[in-house]
Amino acid sequence: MSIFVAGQDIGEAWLNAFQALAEAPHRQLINLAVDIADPLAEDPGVRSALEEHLAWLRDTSAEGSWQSVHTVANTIFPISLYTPGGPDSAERFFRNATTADRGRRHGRRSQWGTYIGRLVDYEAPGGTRVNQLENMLRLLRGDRHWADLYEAPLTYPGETTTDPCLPSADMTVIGPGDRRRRGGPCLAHVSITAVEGRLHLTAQYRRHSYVARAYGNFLGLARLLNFLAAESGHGVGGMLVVGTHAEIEQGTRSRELVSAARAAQGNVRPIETSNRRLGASWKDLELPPRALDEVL
Amino acid sequence: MTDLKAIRDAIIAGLAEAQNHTTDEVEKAIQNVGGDGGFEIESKTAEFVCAYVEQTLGLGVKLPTPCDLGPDQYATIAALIGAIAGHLNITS
Repeated sequence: MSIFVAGQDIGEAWLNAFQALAEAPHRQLINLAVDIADPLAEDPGVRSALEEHLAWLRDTSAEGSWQSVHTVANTIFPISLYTPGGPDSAERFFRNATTADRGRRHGRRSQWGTYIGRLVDYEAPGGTRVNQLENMLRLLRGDRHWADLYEAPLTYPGETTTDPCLPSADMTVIGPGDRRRRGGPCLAHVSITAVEGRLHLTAQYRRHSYVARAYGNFLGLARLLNFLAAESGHGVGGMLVVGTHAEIEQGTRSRELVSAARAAQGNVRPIETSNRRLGASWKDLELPPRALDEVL
Repeated sequence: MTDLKAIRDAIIAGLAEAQNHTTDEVEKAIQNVGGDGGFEIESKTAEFVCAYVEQTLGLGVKLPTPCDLGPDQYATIAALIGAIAGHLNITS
């Protein structure tokens, strides 16, 4: 059975979805759709409660990858590489992100890469490399307005056309060359809809883990949406994230986490969407002290 | 020849490139936070800087990536210089 959950900000949406999962049989749901009305806002209290739980898991669990929310968000959109406002800020971000991603490919944990790597430097069939975000920006910045040009279920990146009925500049994260049965990438598809001057984002996950990944995924996707909107002269609309198989991981304490997050809820603030000023500290994120070590 | 100064210069140039500043502006920001040990680097920036240093210095060897390092090895300019120099067996 499909479940639809809504929230005004990232924190509220994540918490409502997490609670629905916590109350579901075996703590899993099929087709969990989460609507976020204002993806540029979050609740630091909810996030801190989650970070506390992640820090506890890192200390006590031998299995699992319990990275901080910030680290997970960085895999989709690394804010420290985006400095907006300049005439070439998008192109500079693409260069930075591509350089960083290519540099990490030999790392011990590189495996399949990162989402941002697949968005700016996707290896299409035949070995051609495609910058999917650049393709999308080119269309969004174009003279002609297409609301639904960025939507297609099956395509490969770079396969562009101006016919709105044909596959175009959607973003593919899992492609024809992927044969991994377990692990990432779990984000399968991102699409953008441009209506009345605003961009809306829909993302589909083939499997969505709600302790280790979902909050950071929401945050990274919101930052990606903001980037596309800012660099194409659009406003930011809403966001829908569908987990075709959503779960709460084993070994986590979902009831305690729901209680702690509900108690901490109530102070909604704008999310960070770009680099901090030169020389700024990164330690002042709204995180519990133990989680800071993971961030920096 | 690659020495500590060359590594530091390449890191500063990488930070300037990543954040769209001049190297002079980066140096001034470093002074404002008390030196290389006080200038914090976020993990993705460190990832970029490591790749940039590798290319700029033409090292011919792959540097470690932040995901292979502990945060204490890349979270400041001083730490990153130490991590890169250690990987290249450069002591002074």
